[in-house]
Amino acid sequence: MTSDHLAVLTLRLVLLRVVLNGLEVLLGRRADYQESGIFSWIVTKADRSWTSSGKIAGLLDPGMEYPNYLWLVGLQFACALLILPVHGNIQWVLLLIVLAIEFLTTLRYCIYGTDGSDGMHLIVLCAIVLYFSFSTPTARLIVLWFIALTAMVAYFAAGVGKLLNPAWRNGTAIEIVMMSENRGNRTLARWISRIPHLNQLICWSTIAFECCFPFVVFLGPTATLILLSCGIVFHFSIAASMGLNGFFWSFIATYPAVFRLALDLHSLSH
Amino acid sequence: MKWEPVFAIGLVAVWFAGIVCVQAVAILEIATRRNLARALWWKKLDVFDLCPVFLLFSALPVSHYHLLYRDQSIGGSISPWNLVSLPARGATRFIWHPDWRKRVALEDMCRSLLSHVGRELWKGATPSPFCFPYVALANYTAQIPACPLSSARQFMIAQSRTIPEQQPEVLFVSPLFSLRTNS
Repeated sequence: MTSDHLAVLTLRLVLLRVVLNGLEVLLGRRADYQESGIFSWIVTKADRSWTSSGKIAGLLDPGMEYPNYLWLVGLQFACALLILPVHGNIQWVLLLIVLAIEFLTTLRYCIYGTDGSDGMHLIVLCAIVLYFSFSTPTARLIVLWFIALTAMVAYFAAGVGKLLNPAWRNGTAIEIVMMSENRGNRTLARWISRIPHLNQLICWSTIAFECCFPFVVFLGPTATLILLSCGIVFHFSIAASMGLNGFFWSFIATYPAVFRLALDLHSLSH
Repeated sequence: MKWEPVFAIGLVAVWFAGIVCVQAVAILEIATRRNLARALWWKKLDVFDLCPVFLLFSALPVSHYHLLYRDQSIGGSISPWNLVSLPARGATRFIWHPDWRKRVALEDMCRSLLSHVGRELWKGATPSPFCFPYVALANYTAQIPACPLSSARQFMIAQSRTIPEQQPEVLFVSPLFSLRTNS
């Protein structure tokens, strides 16, 4: 597979998340963006001096206030749908619109209501826009490697962070997470706790997967594909059990780039 | 376009260095149990959070925050506390989870407000709750429909531990604030 094929696959996965997010905003949480909502622009813009007053605030306000912001989300949704089925030339202007509205959305949330999947989503979206901005194959390859390396660092940091937490090492972390109100699944938590040592197995499997992620690319494309398949299962199970569907799309979107890195490392060593 | 590879290397190198730095500081904070926020002084320039922390559940959700409110009538009587409830999480949340952000935002705001008040108390100053999370929570709770005779409202944050499950503990009660009247 060429870099362009893999980049288009990354782009489609990122845009699928944009489409799903757009649907959730437009159909599921419009009220949250009203003046009375949790993401009211009148309130969230006060968190930064440059969004609450001045020229930049004057430029942002018309688009960010309700209901204009929903039109922007609709525009982003439409642009993503237009780009998704394209095989040949990616309309760079449409991509830029998707990215610009994603930046505005980041301003809207401040740091509240976001998680690591939003960070990875924005990084991959920025990087893929850069990819299609460059015309030289070398520059494009560098961008793909950057996406791969970022994913590797993200997984490794998460794995090391868990390794340093006694609750993850002794196996109680899964129970704590599953019993939590917003992220957990209490039925699953009770089921897991009935099976001896399953908590510890899940904890250590998670730590091992995340810590080993950066190193498997050096073992060749086949080993990398096996790892990435485990990653897909890992993220799908998190989405299914905890409702964290954002992580599935954001992190899976980095996998084509990781595979490309494994191919290139394999070529260099042979 | 000979400049493209050089530009690409420069741009991603700086960006990647920022990402690595943020992860390293976050891990060092866990390992040393020290606040190393000063090492990330440049993060205030990262307005779009392009160098996020990827600790991903390394810090566990050991607490759950409950948001409650009560009203004061024009006669001065105080209502019982009412829980700000959220829709139950559906079985299709693995693909359709629109209230996810609101849940997390409320939790983040409660935690931030409590941290703010905690810092104020630690400084020895008279703690003032007024900060962005307070304003956001006050605005959110103020918009919940009220009895026509209600003139003011206050909200409360209570915390319960995930494990072991326990009765919620009151951590913060806001001052009374006027309810907006539609004119």
